[in-house]
Amino acid sequence: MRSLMLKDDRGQSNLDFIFGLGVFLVTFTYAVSFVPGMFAAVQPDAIDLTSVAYRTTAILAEDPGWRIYDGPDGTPAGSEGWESYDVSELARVGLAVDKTKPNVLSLDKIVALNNHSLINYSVARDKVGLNGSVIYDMNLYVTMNHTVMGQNLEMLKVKSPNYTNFNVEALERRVMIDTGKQLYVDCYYPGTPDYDLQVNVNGISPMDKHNVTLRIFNTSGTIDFVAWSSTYNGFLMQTWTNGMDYIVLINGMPVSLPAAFTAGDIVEVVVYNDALLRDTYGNLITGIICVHEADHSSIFPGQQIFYTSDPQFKLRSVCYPGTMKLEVWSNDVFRG
Amino acid sequence: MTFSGDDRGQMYTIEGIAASIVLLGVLLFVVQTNAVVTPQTEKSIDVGLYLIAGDTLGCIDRVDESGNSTLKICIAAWNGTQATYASVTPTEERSIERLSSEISALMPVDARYNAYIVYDNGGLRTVPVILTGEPGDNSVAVSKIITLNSKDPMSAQWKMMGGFPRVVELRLICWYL
Repeated sequence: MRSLMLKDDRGQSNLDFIFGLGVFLVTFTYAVSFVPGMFAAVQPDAIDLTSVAYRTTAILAEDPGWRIYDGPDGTPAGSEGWESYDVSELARVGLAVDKTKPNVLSLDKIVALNNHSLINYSVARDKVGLNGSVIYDMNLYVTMNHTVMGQNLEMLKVKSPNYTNFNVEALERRVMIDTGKQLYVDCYYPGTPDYDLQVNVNGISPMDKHNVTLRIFNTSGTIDFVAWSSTYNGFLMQTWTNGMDYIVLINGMPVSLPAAFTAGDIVEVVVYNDALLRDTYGNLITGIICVHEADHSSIFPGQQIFYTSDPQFKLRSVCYPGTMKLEVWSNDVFRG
Repeated sequence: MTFSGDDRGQMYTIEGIAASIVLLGVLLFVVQTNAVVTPQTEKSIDVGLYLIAGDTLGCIDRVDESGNSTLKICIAAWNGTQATYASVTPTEERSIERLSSEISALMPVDARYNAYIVYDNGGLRTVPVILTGEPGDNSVAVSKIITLNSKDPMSAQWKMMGGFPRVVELRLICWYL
């Protein structure tokens, strides 16, 4: 037994050798496991999400959507105008104005999707095609660069309540947002000017729930009220109040009346659809919207302008540039 | 049983246990960490810029109520002059300046672009009309084609060339700074 107690107690393997070997193993294994990361783009997860994100943004930006309803004789019918109807009729969500204008989004559809997603995120997610054999989740943002106001406005925000795992694919698209039609009144027209801008609303469909917007530019003056008259150059019925029945925007900001403007300003007079006079059946009573100049200086075109059918002053869509951003991920455990 | 005096090459028990604990700890630590992966390919960024540039040209080429698109109006009004690096657009050329401001409104702030008009006049000519710099290695190119008909309003340069209906391409080369 004595021979076991040796003077030389050194072990063959030094402990610091083992520590050094440990550090080396950590580094080597980390480096080796980093190699598959270089091919991450060809892993099933990354490929899958990129194509799903592209497909979904293409549907949202280029397709007007679809609704399915029962036609008058009972057979199913469809139309692109899903935004004015119930969620139960919604078959596919799309934000484009129509098929002939890709990447031009309709403000009505954006507002409708915002309302739908407030009610139920799942509806918005399902009708965009993300609830199939594999279930995805999304965050969708649309912002608009209001070039007249000079600020970015957030138009749509659909956020998923489900958690995000680490694989998220984000895709951004550039779009133009069609905010609706406005009557472009270019006051540089050298006709017989008048101090009342008189716009005849004959021709607006009773089903049309949009506001009447007049875009006045290339002149300077002061507006003090907007009134209604039943005939051209007739008696002005000043029953409308600023803020309730109409608003006046100068360069995108609402102003109180009387409001002065110069030739470089863009003046928008928005008469709300609810303020337009209707009869007991809901049809519009034809008449004239009058924008009155405070000092009676003749700055407006001196003829009756027809809102829907004027040969000279046209209704034009007002489009602002915007960005649509989509984030897609999947918590589905049965994916590849 | 002989206990030889030469114990070289043996590992004593305590050292053995300590060594195995260290090795085991290392292995466990390595195995349970998630390797953080980032897509190393730059293609994903290129695709993003390609989509945005394509959308930009598509939005500028949209047809409004009068039946014209801004892109076609600007190219039809081009007087044929080139751009240089000193002046980003051809000097005194309002239509190209308008085109440049419309493109800038849609493209991201940190991207630069060059625009070329490509047409056939006894051979394919590629004329730079917007020059903001040298394209980098990771640039992407998008194109939009417009057709000029003989009845369209256009500059004297196109009228002289004739050959209607004439197909003209606007090529946009974009890169991130």
